[in-house]
Amino acid sequence: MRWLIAAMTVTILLALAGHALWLILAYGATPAQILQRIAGEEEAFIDPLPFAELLLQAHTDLFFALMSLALLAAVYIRFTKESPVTAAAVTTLFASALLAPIALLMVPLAGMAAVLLWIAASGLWHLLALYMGLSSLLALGRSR
Amino acid sequence: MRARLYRRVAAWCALFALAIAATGLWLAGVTSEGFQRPIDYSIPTRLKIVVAHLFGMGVLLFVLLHFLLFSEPTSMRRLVATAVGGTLLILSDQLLVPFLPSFIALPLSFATALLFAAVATTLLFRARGGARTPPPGSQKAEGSSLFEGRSRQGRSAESRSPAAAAESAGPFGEA
Repeated sequence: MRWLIAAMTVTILLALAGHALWLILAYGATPAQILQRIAGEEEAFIDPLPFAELLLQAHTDLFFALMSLALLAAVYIRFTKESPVTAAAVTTLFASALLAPIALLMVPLAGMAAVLLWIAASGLWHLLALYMGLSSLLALGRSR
Repeated sequence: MRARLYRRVAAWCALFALAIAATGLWLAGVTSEGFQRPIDYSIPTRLKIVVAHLFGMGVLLFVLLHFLLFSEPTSMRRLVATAVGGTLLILSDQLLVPFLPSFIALPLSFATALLFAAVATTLLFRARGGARTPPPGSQKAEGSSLFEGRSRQGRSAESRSPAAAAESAGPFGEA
């Protein structure tokens, strides 16, 4: 069972890293690039992304986050001592993962503010998930 | 109690399931120009959508059943009913899309998808609340619960190392 949990955690961490990399490649690495990609820019003859495409991104991101975070949080809870920090980490993880697609959908309306919110929320849940996965793996390794 | 944290995760899952259903409905509304124009996809495109949804909804049902199994005392009859009912809803939702005309398939598909999301959310919130007393005929009442089975072995999960406890615990731990 220990190897199974370790393999699942490593796979989820790799999927999260790939997801973050894919987001950077698809939308850009800086807030200005992301805004230009989503909202378009007339002077550079760049069309805005269709809203249906943003909705599809939010729809698939929500599913990806639900599956990966439910498993990762379950493993993390199992391998750490219960404390207010654990509860806060789980809540922050899911709240930021839910906030990220909402911010993405707000980009055509709110512009740069929504882009910054999306970057912050996405970065936060990816980093928190990385921390949870690594601490679970460390706990697994220590207990051998 | 770790169970409280697992229930919190279940509640978040329920919220995510609702958000996924809402964005899916919104996406269909945007694609069909406010449901004024029937969505006329080619069969390969429809199958592409169906395959992704069969996978997604199937995995959601799998996770939901695990939360039910590990979060509260649940009778085997209820678990089987949820599994069979959920699978039938998924199949009826997804098989309606590619093989029926849009004007019939869309409302039926939305109805079944929303029903699936509603059932999933209700069950996850029930798992979140947890049952204090085991219902008659439940696994715990019969002494066949996974959790009870472990405690009968005289191995308290809290006194063991996390990995040793995980050796016998399910992926969602012990309630």
